[in-house]
Amino acid sequence: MRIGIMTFWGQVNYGQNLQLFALSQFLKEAGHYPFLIRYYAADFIANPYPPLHGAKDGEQQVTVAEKAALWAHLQNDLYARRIPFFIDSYLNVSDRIYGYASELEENPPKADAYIVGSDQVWNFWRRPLEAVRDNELRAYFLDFGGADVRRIAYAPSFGDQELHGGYREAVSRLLSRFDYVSSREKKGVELCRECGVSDADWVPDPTLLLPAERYLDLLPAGSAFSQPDKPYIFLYMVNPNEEYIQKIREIARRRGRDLKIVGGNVGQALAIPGLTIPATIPEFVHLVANADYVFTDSYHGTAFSLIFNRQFANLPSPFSGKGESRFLSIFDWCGLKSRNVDASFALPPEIDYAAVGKKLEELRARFDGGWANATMLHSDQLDAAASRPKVSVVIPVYNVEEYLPKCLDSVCGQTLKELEIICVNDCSPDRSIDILREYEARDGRVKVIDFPRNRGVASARNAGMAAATGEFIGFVDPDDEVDGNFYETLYRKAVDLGADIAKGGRKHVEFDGTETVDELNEKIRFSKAYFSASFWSAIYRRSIIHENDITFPTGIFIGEDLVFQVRCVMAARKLVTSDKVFYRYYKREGSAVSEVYATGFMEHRKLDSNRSAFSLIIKYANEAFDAGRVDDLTYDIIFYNNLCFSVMVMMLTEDVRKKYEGAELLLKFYDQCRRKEQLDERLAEEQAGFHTLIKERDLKKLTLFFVENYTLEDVLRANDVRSASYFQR
Amino acid sequence: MKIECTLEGTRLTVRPEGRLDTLTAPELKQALEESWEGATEIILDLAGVDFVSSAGIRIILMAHKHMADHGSLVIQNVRDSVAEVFELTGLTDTLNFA
Repeated sequence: MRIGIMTFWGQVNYGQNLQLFALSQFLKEAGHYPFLIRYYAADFIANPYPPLHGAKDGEQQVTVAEKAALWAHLQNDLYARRIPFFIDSYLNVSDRIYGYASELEENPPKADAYIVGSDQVWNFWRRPLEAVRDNELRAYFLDFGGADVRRIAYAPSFGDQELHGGYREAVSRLLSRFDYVSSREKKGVELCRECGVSDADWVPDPTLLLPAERYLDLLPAGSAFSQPDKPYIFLYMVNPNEEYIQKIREIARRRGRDLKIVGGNVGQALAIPGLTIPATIPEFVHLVANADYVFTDSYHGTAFSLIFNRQFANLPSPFSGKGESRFLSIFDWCGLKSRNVDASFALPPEIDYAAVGKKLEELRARFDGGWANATMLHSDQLDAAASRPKVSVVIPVYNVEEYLPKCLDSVCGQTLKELEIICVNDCSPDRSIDILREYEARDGRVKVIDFPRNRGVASARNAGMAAATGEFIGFVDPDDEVDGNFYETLYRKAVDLGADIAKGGRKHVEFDGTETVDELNEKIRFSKAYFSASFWSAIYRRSIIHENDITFPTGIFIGEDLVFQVRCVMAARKLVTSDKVFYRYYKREGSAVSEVYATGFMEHRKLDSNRSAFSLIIKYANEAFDAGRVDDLTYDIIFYNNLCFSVMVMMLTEDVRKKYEGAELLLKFYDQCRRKEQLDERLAEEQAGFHTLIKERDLKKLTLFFVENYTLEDVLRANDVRSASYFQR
Repeated sequence: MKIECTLEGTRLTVRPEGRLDTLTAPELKQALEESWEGATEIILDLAGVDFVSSAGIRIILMAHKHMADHGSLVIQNVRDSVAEVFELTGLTDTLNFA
């Protein structure tokens, strides 16, 4: 598998580059082709940014000029420590360098899987969400590339105890696309769970996955670093602190040891001639491995002390408390307590490496097999994923023996073979079940669910969805048909463009066989919110349905499909359309509009069902809006359309009381709108007739308006009933 | 629908019977248009009508508008079930009831 790794890279930071090396090495040894996605946040580098690590709110920002000077210094340091050469020597890298998430989206690195992590890639230093939302946040939450690319979070760190200022909502949304989520801190796991990833895992930092020899091999035997001539104490400081240096120098003197100091981290890199060593990455590794004692305030200083079984102590860092959790999780695993020096600089008790070394071995063994499985990078898991149906087609069946074979033939004969065809027989009194059993015996992809009693179409579709295992779900009604390449075309399009919904066209077949094509796609290309009819003409990514707990509401029997559809539309990050393939909807006797033709009105219980559906849609739209899960344009269109649908229903009854109830509902909907100014603007322009009456809040005048102007004759007289086609089922 | 139309001088009395809905409203319309020539007062007697739909309301409004130029329309003997319809549409204030 080609696996793109998204993490920090190429800065003056040993841990950063070593965790990347370790993950890459681990994946190589598992038989994959890992490569670094060379991304850096171009806007972050170009703009002034809040103070560096550990600074408090309200401190002055670093200016562009100051930052430029800093970067120039870092650049020198970077080459002094030969970090670019390390990357060249040990890592595969993406062909291009990306500066923005939009570049990643337009030209995503080709891969079977993306892994984000480790390091503190999910630490945005409490910057306002707006500062990172369009670039860094998207990049480090893998919001790019096709939908078929596996997205894995391996051991990223938030470096913080909480998500503030809208981050939780944004992160929840982004994490919903992941196949596997983990963090290297228990606190990070909790934060992921708060964001809706209930099965987030704790995993060790990738540096702990490789045995010590693998790191020692980085430096040729015989170098001064691999064979020190005198025992030394090693101090690795990310946050320089004069007081600590003095104290440790004193300890070294008392013990008759040399003191070797390495500093380094972005922005505070310490390569002070005469004081610190500008070690290369392999040299750094050996400095830890051969030290008599290690002092460090760094996570990776700690991790490598453990890997090389060194006695060590942690120095409190300016962000102790915030960053502490990352040490504690791994200490917990090894059975260690805090390693911080105390206020009087007394050292923690000696570590018994006979026990700790064993725990680290266990950790490695566990992840060699277990982690690969959990992340679905293991070959068995890949095979299983490959045989997973691409589309599950759900067909609710009730009393349709006459049409069912043609419908099933059109689904079973699809050019996309990786289908799962779930037929739910809703206790049909006719031979429908016999027909289903015949197809089930003939085609292994057909699965039959047989309801012992009639439960209605919503329950039937829900049961089908619950049983579905495909990547996408499609719906066919048992008296309709689909073009032979319908699902292949939509599936390919969804996968290629990374969409959650792919919609084809719909052909409406009249009683006499004449066909008309709906013109919805043009509008949908303007906004996904216009996808508000013909729900069966699309496929829906199963994960968005399950993650958002979207079902067909039971208890209403008209409009339940619209509720499902609108909720999917709100949840979908992207909707694509194809005008080349069609769902063929056959108009049959007995449909709701046919009934209006035949009886002159729509049954009140159906009318009430429709109105319940509209009320549900308003409720879900408002919930999504309040939670920031739907953008303004989508909300405006859904709200306006729903309001107009509820008005259109007035045409389907001549009962004055029902029109009065409809007018009442309309006022209620209007009052519930979260963006009234925008709604008023559109109503004034397009529905001036009743908009003024809504504003006057005159229920009786509004009723009279619908009595006079929204008449059943208009429906019956219309040659083209598409305007009312929404009500057909 | 049975509709009885009686013209006495310039007073036209119209007595429909049954439901005044989408199917029967056109019959009332036709009956009115055929007999209102020369009438300056129309009495619409709804004693025999037990249901009025929107279509019925539209015909009554049509008659009301016609008579605005030619005299007056008076509605009488409205049953409770039908009175509700005039109430919900605010027509109790617009139309003349005897």
